[in-house]
Amino acid sequence: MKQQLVIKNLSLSFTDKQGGQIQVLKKLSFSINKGEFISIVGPSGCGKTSLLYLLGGLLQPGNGEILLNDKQVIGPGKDRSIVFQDSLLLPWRTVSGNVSYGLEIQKVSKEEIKKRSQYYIDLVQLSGFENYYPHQLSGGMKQRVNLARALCSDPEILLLDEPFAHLDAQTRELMQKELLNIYQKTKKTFIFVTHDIEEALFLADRVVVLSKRPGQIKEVLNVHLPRPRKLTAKESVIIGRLRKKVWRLINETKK
Amino acid sequence: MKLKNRDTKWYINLIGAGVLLVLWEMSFRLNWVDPFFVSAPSKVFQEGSKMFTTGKIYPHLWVSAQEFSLGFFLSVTTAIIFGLIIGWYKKIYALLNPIIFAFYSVPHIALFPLIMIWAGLGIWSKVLIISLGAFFPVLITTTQAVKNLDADYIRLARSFGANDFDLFKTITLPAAVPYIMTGLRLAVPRALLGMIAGEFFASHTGLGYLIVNYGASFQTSRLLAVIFIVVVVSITLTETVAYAEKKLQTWKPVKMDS
Repeated sequence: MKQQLVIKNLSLSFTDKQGGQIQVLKKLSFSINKGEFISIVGPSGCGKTSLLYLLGGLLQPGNGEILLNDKQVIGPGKDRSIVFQDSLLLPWRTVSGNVSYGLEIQKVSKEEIKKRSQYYIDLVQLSGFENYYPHQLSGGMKQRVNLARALCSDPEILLLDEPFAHLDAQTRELMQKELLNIYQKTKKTFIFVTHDIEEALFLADRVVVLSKRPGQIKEVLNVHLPRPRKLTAKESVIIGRLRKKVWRLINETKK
Repeated sequence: MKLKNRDTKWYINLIGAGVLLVLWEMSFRLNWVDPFFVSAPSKVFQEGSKMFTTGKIYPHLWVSAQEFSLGFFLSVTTAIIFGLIIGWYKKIYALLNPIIFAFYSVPHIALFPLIMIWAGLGIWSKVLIISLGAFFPVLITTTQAVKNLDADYIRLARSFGANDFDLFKTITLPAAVPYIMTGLRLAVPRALLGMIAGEFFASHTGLGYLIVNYGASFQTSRLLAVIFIVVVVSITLTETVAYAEKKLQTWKPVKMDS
């Protein structure tokens, strides 16, 4: 399988208010194949979101490089979309206005925008809510719009930043299942950041476990579960065993 | 407070005003006070409607309307443009903020004699004092809107490859609209104050001139009639802006108070 995204020796540090250096990520190296579903888990503050922003081109690495189809990532691009935490919908735009936002920025023709945004609104099952404003939507619906907005600009890679973290347990499970449906329909590469170990395992082909700050790769685990997956897979022996392993890896780093 | 008021019927609003009017009329009819000082609602209404039937009021209304619309339009457009720039660039904000604050603190009427020296007695001195009154509320609210812009929205726009112009058009400006409307609402009374005061001192036409003129010749009923017209104009303008404010932020679940 072809390596689509290659991360080499990636490091990132911030300068704090006192002028000191805080290392957030330290020498990360791994590669992702086209069409893979990768979850990234780690304790809070380990630099998961920073890693995602690096991949999205919103941050520049201090050291190392990111190669996308053999080309270095130097900024945001049409080939990647971010599904933001807390949905981050524009409150003055309707559902369809939000979904088509990226396409408008990318100067896609009006008919094309209409066609594509409708397709993705249908895909996330929000047909009939096109003219609703974000404040009229539930948390789960907002995240559907967030997802549709990212998908609508037709990226190769979808970068998801804990999109279900603030949903109630039931909605979260529903969204996880639907995300897998969408993943299978779109055949894009999904990179999903979360602190929820079970969620990471249930969704992904491979799970990257990060240590606490400075974030380093502890281990990359394969999840050998067939797709399509049902929610009952969470109770499977494979996930149970892996969950314990990830727990151990994360707790090791906490010492 | 709002919760309490929600159930009041519309006519309760009118009772207070009604009682006041009746008492006022009675004080005139029963000779409680000298009518020379307070006139009476009936007489004020009579004089007021006469101004319209004889057409005497129209040239004054027209001049005031011209001054107001010109001054308001000029100041609001420049205030929005400047506000967007000042709010966006931190250095410009640091540079100009003290000056803006100083100007906003001065009662703008105090600057009218200076404006008269610059612009003379014609329409432009009034246009300028109206502009000066309306400028700062809109400037300050617009600046704040840009400064308070959620950094996450900027990140969102950038993630789709937005350039500065896209960012301005799709994020900064729409996010600022509710703030700008609040600025407009605060600007209306200040602009009207400038208009009336300007016409007090340097005019031969306009509503402010009429007020001074009727005052100087002790025509209480006519004086009050003009004031009543000013009140109606002021309420109409403020309510129009408030209505637009509400319309333009249907997406905002909570009304902004200020």
